[in-house]
Amino acid sequence: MKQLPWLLIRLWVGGLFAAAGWFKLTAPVENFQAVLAGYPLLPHAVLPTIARVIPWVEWLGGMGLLLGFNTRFFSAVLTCLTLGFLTVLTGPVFTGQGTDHCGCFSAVGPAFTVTQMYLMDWINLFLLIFLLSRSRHPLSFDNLINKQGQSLPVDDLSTTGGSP
Amino acid sequence: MSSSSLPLRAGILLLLGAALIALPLSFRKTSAPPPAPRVFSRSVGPADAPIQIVEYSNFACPSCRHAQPMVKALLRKYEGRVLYTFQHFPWVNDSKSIHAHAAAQCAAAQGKFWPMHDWLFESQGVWRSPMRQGNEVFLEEAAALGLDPAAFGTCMEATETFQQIQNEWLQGQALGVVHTPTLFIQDRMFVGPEQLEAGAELWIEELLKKGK
Repeated sequence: MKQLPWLLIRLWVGGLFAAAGWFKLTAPVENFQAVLAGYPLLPHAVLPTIARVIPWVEWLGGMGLLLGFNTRFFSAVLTCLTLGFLTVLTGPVFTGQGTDHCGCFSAVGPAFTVTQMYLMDWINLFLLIFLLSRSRHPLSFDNLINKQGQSLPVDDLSTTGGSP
Repeated sequence: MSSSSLPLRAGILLLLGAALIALPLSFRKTSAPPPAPRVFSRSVGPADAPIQIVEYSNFACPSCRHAQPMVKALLRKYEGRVLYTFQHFPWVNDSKSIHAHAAAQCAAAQGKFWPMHDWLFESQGVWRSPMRQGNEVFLEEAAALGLDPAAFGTCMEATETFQQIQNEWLQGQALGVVHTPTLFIQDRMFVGPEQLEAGAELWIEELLKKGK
């Protein structure tokens, strides 16, 4: 029961990123590129590359957290991504563009304003740091694999003088 | 992590990676060109032009207005080699936007699509003003353009007019259009004035070179 909040945090953050990636990946990339063009901090020359890379990072990172596979690695990746989002969104939030549609879930997903997403990114950042701080996660692939990995050394001990 | 779990991890990683990459790609909407629409009342250029441009646009959208000079410059530069068609893509929750498209559609029925198109973009601030309610502003412009006011008025109320607009909107949505303006130049999609300015001309040049 003590593990439940950690599981919920992992599923919430993972689900959010996976959904954001999914909505962008299933739409033509030019749409997300057009959304990014609205953020002045991003250089236009790199927009096509960013528009192609970010949805994959969101999708794979989000699914990594949902499944609990390499949780700390994907938490670290998504922490970096969230820091990037916060950097990009800070300008529009404090220059009166906070009520615009942020385009974070593509145009077909849930519509959040820039300010709403900015606040959500801060929450996600703290949750991701919590996830990063833990080495074990309930109901995760990591746990399953670690248990299997640990079973061999235990057997080894029993045959190499572990018992009299 | 123990060394014995490494092959297991690698195997799971490979399987998961492949599945996770294949899944969104299989649901992806393509940027393939829309079927060649032959809406000649809203097309410019020869029907057998080597390059086809289809624009999904919204008369109420400032970016579409901003993109208009760029589109016109492209049509001037590649005159005779490009067939351009305008497709309706209004904001579905904005009745002014939908009625503006209806006005353009009704002007097209009387062969005056382009003058109405230009006026709707140039006078966006006028007809979108909250002071101008209803269809009055469009009826006034129709009269100024010399359209038959009775036929225009009937057309503005007709279900078929809105059905046509809705069909084009649905067609656009099926192609992955969400923002306006979205232009399909052959098999490539350009969304917004920035992409249009950065790549449309280069792409047309490339297509023309390939065609030779």
